[in-house]
Amino acid sequence: MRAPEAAAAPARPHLLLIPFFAALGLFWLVPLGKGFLLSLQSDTLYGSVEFVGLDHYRRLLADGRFRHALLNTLLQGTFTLLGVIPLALLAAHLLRQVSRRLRSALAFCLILPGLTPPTVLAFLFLLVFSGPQGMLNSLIGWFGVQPLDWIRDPGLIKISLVLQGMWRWTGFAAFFFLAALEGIPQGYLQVARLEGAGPWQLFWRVTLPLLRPILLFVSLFLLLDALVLFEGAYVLLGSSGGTADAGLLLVTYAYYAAFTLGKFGYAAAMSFTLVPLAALTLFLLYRSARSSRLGDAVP
Amino acid sequence: MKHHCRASLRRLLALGSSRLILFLLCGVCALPFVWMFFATFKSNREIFTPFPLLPRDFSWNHYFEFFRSAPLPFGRQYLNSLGIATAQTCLAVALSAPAGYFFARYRFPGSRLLFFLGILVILIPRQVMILPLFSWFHTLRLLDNPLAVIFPGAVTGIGLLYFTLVFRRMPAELFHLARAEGASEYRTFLILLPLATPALLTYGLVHFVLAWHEHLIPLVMLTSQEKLTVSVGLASLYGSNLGIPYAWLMIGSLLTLAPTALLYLFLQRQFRSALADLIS
Repeated sequence: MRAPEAAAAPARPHLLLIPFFAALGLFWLVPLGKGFLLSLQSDTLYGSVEFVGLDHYRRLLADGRFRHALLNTLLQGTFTLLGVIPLALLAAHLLRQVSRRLRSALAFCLILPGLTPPTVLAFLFLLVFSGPQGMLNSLIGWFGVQPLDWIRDPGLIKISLVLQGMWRWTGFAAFFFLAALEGIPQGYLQVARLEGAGPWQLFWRVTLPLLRPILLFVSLFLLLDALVLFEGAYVLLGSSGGTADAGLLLVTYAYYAAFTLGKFGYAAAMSFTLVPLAALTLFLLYRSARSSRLGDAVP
Repeated sequence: MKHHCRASLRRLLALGSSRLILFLLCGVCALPFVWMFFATFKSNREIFTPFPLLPRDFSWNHYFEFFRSAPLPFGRQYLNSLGIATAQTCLAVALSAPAGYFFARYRFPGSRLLFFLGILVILIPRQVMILPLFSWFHTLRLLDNPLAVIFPGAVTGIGLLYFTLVFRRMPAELFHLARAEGASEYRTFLILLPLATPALLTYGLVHFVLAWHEHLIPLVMLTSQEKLTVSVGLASLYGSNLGIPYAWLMIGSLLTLAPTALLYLFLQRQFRSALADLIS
């Protein structure tokens, strides 16, 4: 038998934590540090490199294309998020009303785009969006609408980008919401109904607060995709921004600067501007989560 | 009576319209895949017009030819991808589940900062970090080695967040019980781990999907044809001008989609219960 004092304050099992942070340091922090040094150096490809301090960052502030890309990224991320989450909630709500077997089949249809690798998506997007015979143009043609140039028209590029993001992730988000809705104890809803709450009140006051942990997880996933991965834009438009840079995003611009123009230092500086942005998003998500039951999920 | 009729009519209309919206949503999501399936039977002439969906000159030949004379080491690359994605997923779970457990159970000075660091680092674009990553792996002599793809992807902030959530949700009595039995802290973790099986599988799926979709890192880190992943190989096939039947690309695409789709179908019940646990 152990003494109760010894059991009350056991040593923390640090070995559980160390592997994660060791890997983080080795495979992320070291390259990140190297990248930061790169952002302080001149863009010389051959010969000796010069230390230029914050020059790249200063030039970024004056770069109109960079501001444009930043704005596009923010708009794109926001609108995709605003499109995906209500639509996914609606889909999850509607899925709950159909029989169990049909529900599984329909949920599978919805989640398929989220399971598809970007290489395959690239081909599908071309098929859907491009040319007068593309799938989207054929569909709107049935309603008598003239074919539109979804990939080249500057106004439509932005819409196409948001649409592809929505198409790709709505089912994925709906799957998480559906599982969460199924997990809500029926008692909560019954009590609220007895108290005289209408369907909307029920949704805003009971369902939504209970869904918060899942909402946080899904939002983080979507933002990660919008800010960082952005294979969607890349496969649709390549490393250019499309006509008049209408679809230019931070990540595509940085990629272009690095691998087409060879300005590695400048590109590294550009990608580091995302750090405060990511930190801010994370902070806002954390704040919104703290007021809920999720608060105890963050140490 | 008339009133009653109108009410039930309204209910019927509401039901009908909600079904319609649902079917429409599902149709929009699934249509390109239905097309892709039928396109595997189409000739190059009709493949670029999506409608009609059904092929006019139907033929199984593309499938036979694809497997007989594929212009890539497709099978080899497919196995590479499976191996890399599986290894990365296992490693990601092995790294982030214990870390999540630790954050869920213990508070110490700086724990919040460390937690946010773990998540924040992941939100930095890989596309540009790829260059320093490349030179770092060159130093480590890991280039053209599957490990160069497995390691960077295995560190995941989303996993950290998810497992912290999962272990926070576990009833505190379980921890007390394990301790009362005299189990060490490490042993407690191992005892409680099986209870989180649905959560482990759920995260495993999400990570497998991400790992399977990974494109840029294998593209840069791997050079030899027989070490490439299937996604990169397929992309090179799209870009090439070999005069091959486009139906081959569609067959390759379908096969590339298969692992993630099958994994989802096998495990969906587990995911539901894992996510439901997170709520209640």
